[in-house]
Amino acid sequence: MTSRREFLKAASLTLGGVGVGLAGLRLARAEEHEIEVAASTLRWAMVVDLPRWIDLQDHEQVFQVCHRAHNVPDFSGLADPEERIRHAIKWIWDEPFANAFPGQHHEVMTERYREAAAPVLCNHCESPSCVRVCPTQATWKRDDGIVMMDMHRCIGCRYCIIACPYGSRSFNFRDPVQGLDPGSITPSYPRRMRGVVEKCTFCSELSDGSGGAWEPECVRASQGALSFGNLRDPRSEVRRLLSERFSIRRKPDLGTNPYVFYLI
Amino acid sequence: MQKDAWKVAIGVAVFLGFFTFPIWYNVAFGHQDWEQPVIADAAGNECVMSRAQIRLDHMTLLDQWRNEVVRDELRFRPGVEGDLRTKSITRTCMGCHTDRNEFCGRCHQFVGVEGQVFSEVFCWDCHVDTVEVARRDEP
Repeated sequence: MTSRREFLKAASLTLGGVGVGLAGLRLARAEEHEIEVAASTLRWAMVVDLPRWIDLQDHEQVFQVCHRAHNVPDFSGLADPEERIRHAIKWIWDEPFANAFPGQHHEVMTERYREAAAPVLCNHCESPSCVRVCPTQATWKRDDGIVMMDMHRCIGCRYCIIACPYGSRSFNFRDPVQGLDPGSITPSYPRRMRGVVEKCTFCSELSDGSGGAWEPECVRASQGALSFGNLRDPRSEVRRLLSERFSIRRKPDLGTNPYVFYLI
Repeated sequence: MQKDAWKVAIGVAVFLGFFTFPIWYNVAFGHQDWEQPVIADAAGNECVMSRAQIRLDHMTLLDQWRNEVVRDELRFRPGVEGDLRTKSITRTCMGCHTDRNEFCGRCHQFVGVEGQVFSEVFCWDCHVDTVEVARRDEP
């Protein structure tokens, strides 16, 4: 006959043992994961040369190139100005310096930067908060660092929009087809449906899958103000720029670890 | 013998009536002479699969492609002749299967997954039908 005391002893020892075992398994798996991350030789990043961007005459044309290539609807023609803002779909756009870099702005800073507009887009963060909250894994981080969208899976819950501290995501409140000019649709790139979230994907559709860099549409149109490349490649253009000049990132204190860098 | 077996018999008859409804409904309203839709041959040669295989498996193939391309970055696959083909509706399939109404719509409408009460096939809400674009661009 087992006494109550003996039974409780045995039960707690068993439970404790199982717990330690599970924790060990978890640790082992975490180690595996770390090795995997370290082994990845690709990490796409963008570098914005702010002085060159400020000197660039036509910013709008850069955004247009991107938006046309990805069939991003244009609702700037809506009559109600409030609606125009609410329904706007943006992959890349200009934000006043004070809004793009809230902590870096002060009253008496150089006028050049105080009045400047910085190009902003999805930062393709190392710890993307949008990915953490997505209930369907419609958005996820690829091994090469790109935060991707799977429009087939997006259910339009907009958690990611709330989670993203950069406002990089737009929701299709309207049928996006209404905002597309039928004459200038890019047939090789899909449109979207009403009720999905969209954002910049670093033009991942231009990748040939070989691991080589490509030239995103905005970079191609920016006359050298934007650069794109592999941060893990020590000889890449982005690495050269970042090692030669001082750079800042948007809201780095939030811990998302953004991968769009701004040269000052 | 049960005393009220006739009640059970009525129940069985009513059940069978409902159960076979689709059959006698179609007979009564003359829908029994259906014809399987004949789809025209596509322009090109066999591409990613043999003809018999693609007829049987195209829906599975498209579903796989969708996940592989979007989620795993696997954009190419060997074709029947061993050369690499791009996994893309608009850039590969529609090169030969040019008209989506002919190659997708005819069968989908016949089996009732498209264009009837509701549409289960919403590929074209986003993916651009190149023929449609070309037609629209004509003056």
